[in-house]
Amino acid sequence: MIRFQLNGNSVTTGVNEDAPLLYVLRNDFSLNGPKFGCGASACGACTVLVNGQAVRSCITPVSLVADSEVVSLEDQTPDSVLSVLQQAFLVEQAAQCGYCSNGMILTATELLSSNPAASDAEIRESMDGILCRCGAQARVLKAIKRAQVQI
Amino acid sequence: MIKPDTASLSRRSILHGIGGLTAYFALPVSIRTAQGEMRRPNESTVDAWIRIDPKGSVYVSSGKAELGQGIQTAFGQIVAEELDVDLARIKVINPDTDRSPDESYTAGSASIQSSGMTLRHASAEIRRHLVKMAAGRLHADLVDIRVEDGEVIAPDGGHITYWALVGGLEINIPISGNAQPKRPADHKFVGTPQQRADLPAKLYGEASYIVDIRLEGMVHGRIVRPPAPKFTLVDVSIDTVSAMDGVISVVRDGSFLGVIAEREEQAVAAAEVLAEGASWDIPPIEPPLEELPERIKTLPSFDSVFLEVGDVNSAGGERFEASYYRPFHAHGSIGPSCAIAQLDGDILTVWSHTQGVYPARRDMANVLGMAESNLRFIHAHGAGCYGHNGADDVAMDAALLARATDLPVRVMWSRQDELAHSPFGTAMRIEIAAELDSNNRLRSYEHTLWSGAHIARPGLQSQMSSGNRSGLMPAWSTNSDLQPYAFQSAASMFGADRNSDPIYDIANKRLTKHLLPEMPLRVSAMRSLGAYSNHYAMESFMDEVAFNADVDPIEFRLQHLSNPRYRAIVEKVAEEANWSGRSNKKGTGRGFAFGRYRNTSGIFAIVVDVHVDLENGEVAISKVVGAIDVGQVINPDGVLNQIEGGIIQSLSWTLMEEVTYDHTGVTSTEWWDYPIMSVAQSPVIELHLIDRPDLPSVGAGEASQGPTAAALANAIFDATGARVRDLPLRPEKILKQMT
Repeated sequence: MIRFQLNGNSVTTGVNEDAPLLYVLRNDFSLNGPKFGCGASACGACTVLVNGQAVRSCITPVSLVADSEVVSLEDQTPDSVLSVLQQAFLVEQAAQCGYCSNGMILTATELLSSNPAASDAEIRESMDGILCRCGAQARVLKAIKRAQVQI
Repeated sequence: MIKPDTASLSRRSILHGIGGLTAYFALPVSIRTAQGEMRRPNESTVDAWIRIDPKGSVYVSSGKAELGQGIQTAFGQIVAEELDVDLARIKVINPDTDRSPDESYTAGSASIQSSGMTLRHASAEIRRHLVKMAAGRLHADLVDIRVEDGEVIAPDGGHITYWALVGGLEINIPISGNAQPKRPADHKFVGTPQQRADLPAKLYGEASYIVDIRLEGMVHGRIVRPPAPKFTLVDVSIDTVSAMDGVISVVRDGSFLGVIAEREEQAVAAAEVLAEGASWDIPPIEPPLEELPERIKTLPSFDSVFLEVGDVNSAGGERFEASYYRPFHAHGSIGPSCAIAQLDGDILTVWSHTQGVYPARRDMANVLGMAESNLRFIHAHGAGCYGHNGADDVAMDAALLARATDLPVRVMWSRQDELAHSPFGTAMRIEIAAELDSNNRLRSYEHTLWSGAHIARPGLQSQMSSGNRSGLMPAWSTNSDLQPYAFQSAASMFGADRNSDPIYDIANKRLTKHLLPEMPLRVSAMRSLGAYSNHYAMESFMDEVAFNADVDPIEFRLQHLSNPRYRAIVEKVAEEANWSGRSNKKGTGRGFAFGRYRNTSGIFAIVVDVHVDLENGEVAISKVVGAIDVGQVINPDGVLNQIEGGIIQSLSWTLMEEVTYDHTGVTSTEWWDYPIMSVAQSPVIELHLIDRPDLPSVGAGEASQGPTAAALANAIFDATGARVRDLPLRPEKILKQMT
């Protein structure tokens, strides 16, 4: 049995400990936020926060999050950095298909949690590993800057 | 969890007996007004409908799919506007062959001008019907009545809501098409920016996509195939896979090979072992990648001069010639294609992010030897597709696996599947020749193109002249006689010539196409079809000629543009970008381009600013300024988002993208082999939208693809003097052209 905190709740799973965290979160805990994109840590669609750090859940065995705190796009903690970013993405309409938004928002959550005053260059660098194909990149940057003002 | 209604219900039975007002669009006539054409949907068993629900919602069923382009939001604005109800009441239903009209594909940036305008006229007529009912109940004169959020109010204060009017009744009305929509000046929702109706759920992790559908008992399938366009399964070891944890079934049908397992990670692991134990015969891919740019001109082709105006023979002016090349491009959806199929008795239900539930069903029914009426296709949102990606194929995969179990089977492609097996945007070569007279006017223009197919979507079998054909790739490897489409004539190959006819005032033109039915890789629709390549070539060429004639590139365009609407967009972007001519600074440059998609759709002009490192050829795109005119704007923010996205995508195609292959198949099957523009590489974008409320709405989705490519190439030329005529505009090519 592997036990971890998922969006503030204590959960356990008995699946094979090598199972990718992504499949466990999606298929056993019915999360929709983290998404399969490449299975190789190359696009960021599967991002979740593990103890506050943005982690690619597609290549992370579930055993690695034992006793850790996992936060996904579904987390509803009031006034969190995540919630501010979600609202900013909505206001800026910083998505088209929205499939990359999970990775964009959670990676920005990690950044602004540790560096709320991140410079434009730091934001661009931090977000660089999250791929978007619709071309929402410029709006994503605007949304993060909007969120910065409110954090 | 999404709990789809899995029963196969006819539209009449879905809507029968639930009360409210349902309006069907079975138009006796096609009408044309200043505000756009109202079209009858294709023949089908299901009409389009709008339903006024007694509980206060308005359901809208069209045949067009939400692809991330925001069409459902725009439809909502159009319907809310004409009905006089709040936007929040509108619920747009995803296409479903049991409930929606057959509107073929959601493609060509045409949903607003076709379906949107039909919804506008239908909604106006529903309002008229309801107001008439209300006037009777309120004993009021029709002309004195107003409507606020579905509440019909008489001058004496008497009022009744739509919902109360239709409560307890079951009203069915056919739409005649003769109601007059609102005047643009009276618009409240249309023309004002609205947030996308589907985004809150997507940004907060609510079930929104096909990948979020979790059916009772659902199992997971994976397909095994080599990354090649053609292959034959020679041998495979199945026993070890069958014995693996969770494996339910290994399915082999000819060269089609797949596995079903209880859990997703078990299916992935089983597919890996299955792949290791499989050997394939892969025929050589001809011509090889490095020879294609030249040999594309000698491949078997259907040739035609498809437009000839005046006389292009030399009149003694200055002659210019140039040749441009575009490689294969991948759609590169961020989410690999996914589908669910469930066989229940002789009824097959398929959940798919296809762009066309009806044509996909038609093709699949033929493949499976089923009656179309026994096959139900339900659309669910997917990751952006930008054309014909693997959506339909993976649905076929799921259907083939679903025959091995009565459980719902979910198949998701891997990243490698998506980048190897989704059809590609075709490689093209374009050669342009023109003659400039002594007044720096183009006297003649000749455009000659070589191109593979741009449309090979499922469901087009009837347009292929012979044999048992399918547009669904998995069908080709099964033990059947199903073959890929074989194009028999130029007439069956659409889209290559899109935007090859210059929109400029040029008296003498000749346009020639060489359509190539056999390309080394599988090709089909990718955003803007041939327009991207034709615009890239034409607008690069215009820049080259202007430079050689020592004329400002914008001034040169304006000299060939008499249409005031086109001039307005060009002048707008020149003003907003503070255009003062070429920069001619070493390493810093700006480029301009202009175009009207399909010569009838969105009008777009763009200025791109770049810095090029003169030591290593690396390009940084610092800023983009664009101006757009799509006629009457429905959702300004939706238009801007589409144009902005198209700009970034086109910059990515143009600067860095190229599908690669060798004798073993496609080799660009991971993101590191097929890089796309990252957040850090993306420019600042400033857009200016010119609304034309009195002109028909046209599409925005593809307008920025072509001109953006040329503007980037022109900016790099301005910064470096390097004119790279074969895409992508890689640093090494820029450096080579500089020396």
